[in-house]
Amino acid sequence: MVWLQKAEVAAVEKNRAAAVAMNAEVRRIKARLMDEVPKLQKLAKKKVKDLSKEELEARNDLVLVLPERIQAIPDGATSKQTQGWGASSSHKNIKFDSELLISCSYTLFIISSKSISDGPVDGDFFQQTEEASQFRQEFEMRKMKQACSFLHLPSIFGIFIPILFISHIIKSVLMQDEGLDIISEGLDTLKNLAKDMNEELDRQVPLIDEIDTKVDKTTSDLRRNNVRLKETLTKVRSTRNFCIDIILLCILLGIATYLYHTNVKPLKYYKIHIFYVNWVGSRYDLADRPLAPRRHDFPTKYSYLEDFNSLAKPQQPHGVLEFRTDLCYLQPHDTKSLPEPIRSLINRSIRIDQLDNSE
Amino acid sequence: MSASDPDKLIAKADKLTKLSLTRWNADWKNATVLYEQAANAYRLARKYEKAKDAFEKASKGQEMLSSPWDAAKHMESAAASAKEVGNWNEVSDFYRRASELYIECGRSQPASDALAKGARALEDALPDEAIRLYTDACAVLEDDGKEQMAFDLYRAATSVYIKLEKYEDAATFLLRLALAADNCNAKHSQCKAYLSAIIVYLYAHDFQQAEKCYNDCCQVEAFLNSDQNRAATKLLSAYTDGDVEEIKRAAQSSIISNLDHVIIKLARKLPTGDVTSFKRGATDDQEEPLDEDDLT
Repeated sequence: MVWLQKAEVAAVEKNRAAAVAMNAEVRRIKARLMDEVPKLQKLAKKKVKDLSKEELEARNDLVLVLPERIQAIPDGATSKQTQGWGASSSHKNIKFDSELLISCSYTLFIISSKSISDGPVDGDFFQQTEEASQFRQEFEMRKMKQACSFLHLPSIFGIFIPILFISHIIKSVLMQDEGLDIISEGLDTLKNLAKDMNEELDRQVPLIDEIDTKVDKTTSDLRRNNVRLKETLTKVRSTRNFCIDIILLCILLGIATYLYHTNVKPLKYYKIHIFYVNWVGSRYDLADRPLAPRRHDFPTKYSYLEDFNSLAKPQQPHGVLEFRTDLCYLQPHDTKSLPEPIRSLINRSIRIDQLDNSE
Repeated sequence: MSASDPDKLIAKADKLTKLSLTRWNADWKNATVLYEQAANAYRLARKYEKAKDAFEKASKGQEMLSSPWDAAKHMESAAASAKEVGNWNEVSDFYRRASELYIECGRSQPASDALAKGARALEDALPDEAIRLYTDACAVLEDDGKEQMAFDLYRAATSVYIKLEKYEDAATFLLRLALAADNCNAKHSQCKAYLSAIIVYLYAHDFQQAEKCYNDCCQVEAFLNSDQNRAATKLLSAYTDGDVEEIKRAAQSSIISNLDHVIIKLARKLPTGDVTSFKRGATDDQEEPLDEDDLT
């Protein structure tokens, strides 16, 4: 059988394209079978020599049933009767269909074998004469058996070889179907996930647009503020204004210094050079006297210097009396209260380096 | 400051706000600050009753300062504290007031969020009030044209209805969800909603309603061309055949397993009750008109 061989080749390839091709083949074969059915019906009605009445009726029934069963074979191309009703052919369907195929082919062979014996029948379709003789043999066997059991046992004997092919094909088809089922389930899940994600994204789009506008507004505000700040800064820190600021600052400092000097006690140092006085006969040791002016003592302690005028001409000064005006009462306008000798010495420096007691 | 003694803060703030002979204008600004501090301190100390009062007063203060946003936020905190206390009426009132204040600000999304939070808090205690809050939240969003956000709320409301075993209402809500989905072109959600409604009707053992619902849904083109339609036809035909195994198989299909988990639970429990009655019911309906024809 040409179509069986083709199916066998397709099974060997073992891919989905093969399944599709096989389905197309099966469709073709179904169409041809349907064409042959009326001929078979006529043949069946024909009286044949060694055929009993019951068997004739059985053959008639077979032929009547045959068209339905041929149509029932799924060829994978039935358009979905309801929208998108998945062709989830379960495994038992396939097994049932394999049985159908087997039974159809068997009935065809049976009837054709008989008809071959009767007369010429067209057919490259019914070419296998050796198989026809096989069928004739087991048709004789069938005579002994019940009408209803012929579908199973004889098929094993008679159509052993083609059944091998058919079962091989059917098995591979089953496996492919299993795999396709699993794939379809996974695809279902994926599709649902993808649609949900789609809707979620649609939901997020307007939210993000809102955020976008808000952020744009904020950036433009920032930029505007930056520009204004820059303008203000340049206005404040320009060089001309800077120099003017410094000059004014200096003037202010000058005024402050002047005020400070006029109001605060001016500090003056008075130096009085002290001559070491040495009276003949008596040592009048200035060193005995405290010469460092004490704050309260100054006017009185130096009364002994009244005799200064009688001294010899001043020699090398022996010391400098240094005192500060801020430590004592000696203010510039107070010099009048000083004893005369000291007053006259104020402008001439007196220095006390060391006071030695040499005579 | 007296951060550790919220009672004193409250007393001080009350003094600031109470009008008397010496005080002609309530000083809300300072009072609000004090109320807020006191409320936070109470919340940390887990004295939720007092925290709730303090938040209420703080919210009122913010309202007086014409700042509805802060007022709404304080109202929400007050509602959360009321939830801890367990005072459910107050919870609902506070959340409603908070959402009103948000609407005053012109922000519908936080308004509906506030109502949704309230509904979630009340799901166990006052489910009817929760449903009302969910409905109002959905209405708020739909008025503002943001139906997309309402889907979750619809689903939550449906689950509450199913928990209460009010299947009619649940299915009606699902159809409203489908309407909202239609308005924003969310075909997948729409079809899912229709399928869920049909399943809810079947679970309530109301086959006529389910069929009616199915016929109505088939008027919608989006549903007609979808996978969910296929699943629905399978399920309904399984029911008319009266085949329990077939129903179970249809209910386990992958399309139904992609719905909301509450609906999946219902679908797994199908069929409820006697399925053969549907089958017979279908044939009876067919026979009667024939009889009438025969009589005439």
